[in-house]
Amino acid sequence: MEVWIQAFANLKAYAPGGAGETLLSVPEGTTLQELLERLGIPPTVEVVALVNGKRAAAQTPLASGDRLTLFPPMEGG
Amino acid sequence: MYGWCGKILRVDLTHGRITPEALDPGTARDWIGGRGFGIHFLRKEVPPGCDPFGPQNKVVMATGPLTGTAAPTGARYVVTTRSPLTGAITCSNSGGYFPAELKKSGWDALIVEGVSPEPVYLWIDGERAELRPAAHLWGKTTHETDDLLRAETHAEARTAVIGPAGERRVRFAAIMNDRDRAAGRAGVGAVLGAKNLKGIAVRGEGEVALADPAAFKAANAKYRGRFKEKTRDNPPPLRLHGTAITVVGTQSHGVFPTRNFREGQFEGWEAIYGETLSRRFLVRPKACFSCPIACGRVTRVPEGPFQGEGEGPEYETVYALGSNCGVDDLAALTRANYLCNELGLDTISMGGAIACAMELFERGLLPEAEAGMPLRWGDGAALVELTRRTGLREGFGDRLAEGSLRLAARYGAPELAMVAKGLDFAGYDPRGEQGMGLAYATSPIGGSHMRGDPAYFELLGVPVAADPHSWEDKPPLIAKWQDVFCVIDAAGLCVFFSVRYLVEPDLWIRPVGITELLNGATGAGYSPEEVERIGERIFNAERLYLLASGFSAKDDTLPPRILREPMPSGPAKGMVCRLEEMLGPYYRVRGWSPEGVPTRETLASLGLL
Ligand code: SF4
Repeated sequence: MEVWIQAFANLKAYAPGGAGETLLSVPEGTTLQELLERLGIPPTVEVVALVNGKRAAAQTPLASGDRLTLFPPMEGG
Repeated sequence: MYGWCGKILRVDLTHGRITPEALDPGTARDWIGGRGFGIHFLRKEVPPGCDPFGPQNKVVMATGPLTGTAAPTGARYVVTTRSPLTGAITCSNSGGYFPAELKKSGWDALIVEGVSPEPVYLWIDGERAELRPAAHLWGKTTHETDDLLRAETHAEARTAVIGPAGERRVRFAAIMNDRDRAAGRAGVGAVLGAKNLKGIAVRGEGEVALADPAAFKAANAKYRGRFKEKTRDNPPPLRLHGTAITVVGTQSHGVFPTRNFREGQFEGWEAIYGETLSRRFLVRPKACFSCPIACGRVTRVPEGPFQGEGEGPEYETVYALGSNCGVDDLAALTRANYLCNELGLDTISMGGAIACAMELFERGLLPEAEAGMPLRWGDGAALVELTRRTGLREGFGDRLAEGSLRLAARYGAPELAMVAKGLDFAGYDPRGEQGMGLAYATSPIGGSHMRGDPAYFELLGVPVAADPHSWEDKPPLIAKWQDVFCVIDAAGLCVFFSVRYLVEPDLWIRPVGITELLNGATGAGYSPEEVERIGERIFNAERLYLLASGFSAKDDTLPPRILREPMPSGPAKGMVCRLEEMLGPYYRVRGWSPEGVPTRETLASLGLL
């Protein structure tokens, strides 16, 4: 199945397309956590991960066409 | 005294008298400083019904015990007064270098009262202070005024001034310090203008005396160490890209206000967010006094019709002058931001008024002949020109200068002003961020995000993440965050650092690090519980002042768009803000009656009877 990924700030380094939204092929049933591991994001790097604009638990299986947004926790706005 | 200077400067403009006063040690301990001093003196000295532009209104400009110390982000001061935009209280917060300089000159706070018969400015040179004629400065921009004041006083003096907007009583005029930092919200600059006070220049070479230098140093090293540890491998996003990186959080959650809060996602977001700003216009990041983050932006628009240089835009400006007006032209909105800084305008309310005018125009309620031009969503050139006209109250700018609520009411549609208690919202749509709705509705100054900002936990994952769509769990959380923000604003710290590094990393933030720093500086021996109580005391005192000014529970509300029009698209599609469900439990948690009035027991427990 394929999912869309877009990453920001320091997390761009781990996203296949760098900046911009990229389509990535992953095995059926891949969970959010497995995907983060697959991208090579070390567990020490803090990530806010959204699936279709909503926060999802690490064990959530992804569905084809899901849109992932990854950004670091931020101090302010 | 330690931490505190122990002195307040009273400036009576009517009689041209300047009087030093001792700061009562009990007052210092009970209210900490900054925002606490602001509401303490306002309640004591300013009748709640008085005209914000009249001689009875006063302006309290107060630092905290950590302002001017080596504490991380000990950079800030708070301006408290009655607001000409909302008719209620406002307290507006700013950093830069002026607040630390004021503290180092030996003063904890200034109380500005009366009205000067002629334009004047205040020059504080350490212990000495004098009022000087300012007729030659009237009409000058904030940058010109800063240059002239430093030329006339001391090359290294720090200034806080108003621009043409404050002189003309634009109801959301700001006080600009260090040229580009703003105490922006709800018209504090217009109040100085009404008092004929063009600005303040200060020079201070003293050091803030610390009660326990070793304990202070240890606390400072500990919390700066936390920051260094977290940012060792990855510099803070705010330094890399400024607060405009926050667009990522709001856009992806579908709460990035677009075209006067009609939608929550902006198709042009990539053109205006922090990383694009860094790539196109960033010259260098800039830090406030004693700040390790450096979220400030020195920028330059190198060419084209909007060429210029200055500071900004911040996230709130990118929302207010960008997405909320449908503008994806970063050069135009940056130029409009420069104009706001130079004329002395709050970018949030400027954007709120323009977005409201654009919707009135689109609906045919505001004729083009009156507006002086077509007001189309996304028109960057119109945005810049309307900003200029507002600062000078020229043509239709005179209407915009009254603020979005008065503007919308004038054209028969007050519900189109996206405000709480008359103050324009910050850049978060409460339909997809329920806690923010409650925070806007119950903030003592109106629609501000900085009076207990739930975006941290609802959107940005700080200190930990919570669900932005749930409302049942929000009332006690919002009350808790509002109280801790009072403490941050009283201590003289910046929220951006404090909320991540000076609290326990838990949703129920506890001001442990702030307490350690306060104790090292002042020797007050506060417990974290006592500091939390002070936060609650400040919040309740502001509530009492608000009620005394004629506000009641019916004003703890949000526009119909937010309460009844479901979000049309995006992750928050179909949602409205469940304010009704949250308010009752919130009043109960606060110890307020169902009418939103603090009970006698609550007041007694906070020492407010
Ligand atoms: S984080 Fe930004 S606003 Fe806060 S003190 Fe530092 S530079 Fe100033």
